[in-house]
Amino acid sequence: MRKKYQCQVMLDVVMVSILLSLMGFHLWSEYVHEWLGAVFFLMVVLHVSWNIHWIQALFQGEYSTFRILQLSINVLLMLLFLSAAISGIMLSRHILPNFIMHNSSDLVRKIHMTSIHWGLVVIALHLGVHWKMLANFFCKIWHISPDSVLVRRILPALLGMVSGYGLYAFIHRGILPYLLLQVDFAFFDFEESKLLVYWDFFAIMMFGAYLTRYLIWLTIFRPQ
Amino acid sequence: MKKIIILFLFVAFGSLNAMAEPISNHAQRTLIVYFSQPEEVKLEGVDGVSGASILQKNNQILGSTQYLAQVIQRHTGGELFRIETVIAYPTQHEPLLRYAEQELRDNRHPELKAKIDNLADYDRIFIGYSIWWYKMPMPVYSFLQQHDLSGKILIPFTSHGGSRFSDSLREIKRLQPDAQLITQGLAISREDVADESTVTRVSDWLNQLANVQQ
Repeated sequence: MRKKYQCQVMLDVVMVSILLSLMGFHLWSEYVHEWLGAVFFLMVVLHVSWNIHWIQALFQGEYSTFRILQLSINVLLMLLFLSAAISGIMLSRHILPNFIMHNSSDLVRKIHMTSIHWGLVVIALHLGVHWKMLANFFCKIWHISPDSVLVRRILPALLGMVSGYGLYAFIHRGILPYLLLQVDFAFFDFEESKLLVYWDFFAIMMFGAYLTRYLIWLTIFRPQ
Repeated sequence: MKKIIILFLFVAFGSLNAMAEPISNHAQRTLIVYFSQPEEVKLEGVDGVSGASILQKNNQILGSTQYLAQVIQRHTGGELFRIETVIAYPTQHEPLLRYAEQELRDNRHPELKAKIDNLADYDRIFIGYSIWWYKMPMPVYSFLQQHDLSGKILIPFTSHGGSRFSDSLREIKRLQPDAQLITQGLAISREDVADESTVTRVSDWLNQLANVQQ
């Protein structure tokens, strides 16, 4: 297997862990939140430039339903990411406190909250679209046969349970009002454990990704 | 033998004392401290409307937290104390947001108009505030730093814009480590403060608190 691809997957894993830290605004200080945001920004740049061949190939070949879906998810994710980054820069109080664009009005705060929560959802879809690719990768490096009981039965059962919990966390944490622009100020429970925050948002992502993977299989690949 | 009898009497009276304590709870002398900064928002003249941090109730314009403090006062018969700063805050929403942000960035604790001198007269202190930028407003920090609330029962309440108590409970614990902080505070969204049900919510909450303390 190519070394580069291994590095890419490693980068993706680090990105997920930073993303989970960013979702818990209150886990680390505001100062750390801003720096993590900046690091995440650089990692997205790296992630995109490592996959530049995907952009170069955009105008070649035919467009299947799956490819159209993949392209729309990626474009949407890019837009959400830009809106989260720009509003984040405008809100910054530590890295760019006296930046010319600084604006901490209700509108900018709402844009930031809405775009990161939609961002989380669309990242889960993005993950779901590339699920098969990643699954093949992990099968290879861990020397697991794709037809083994582990892959065919145990893992889906486990992922199903994690996803079920993810749906519960999505409702319990009240993510929907954020998506519908109904929240003025976010709620952070400073008393709860850090681990629970990481686990909840991880499970929410898994729910979105696994559901996407399942729906793609059901609607696009199975009928063929 | 004598020693044992004395010890026994000690333990017996000690437990009697402990048993008597909940009864004395009813006579707890109560103080309700609050910080409320009503913003200038147009309310449509009908009764029971709430805006950013202001509400209209019985033809009176009040700060949301101020209103909650008054409802608590009616139920507990406590005394009210409003935290006020020497330099007034902006009354428009966006300027207030910016002002509070700058104050937070400079870590400025504003000077208060008055201090409570007779703290010894109270056992139970309700403390109310809104949340600004995920923190207690700075005047509440000033208040907590200038008063020693050791041994008092501290009960927080807030009219919030979504962030409920945010990190304020942790901060109160840090600033007043020897006070007994009740963590089941009352957090009502500023959107709902004007509702009729608020009065019932407050009294239900106070009843629950009485059960917790006994």
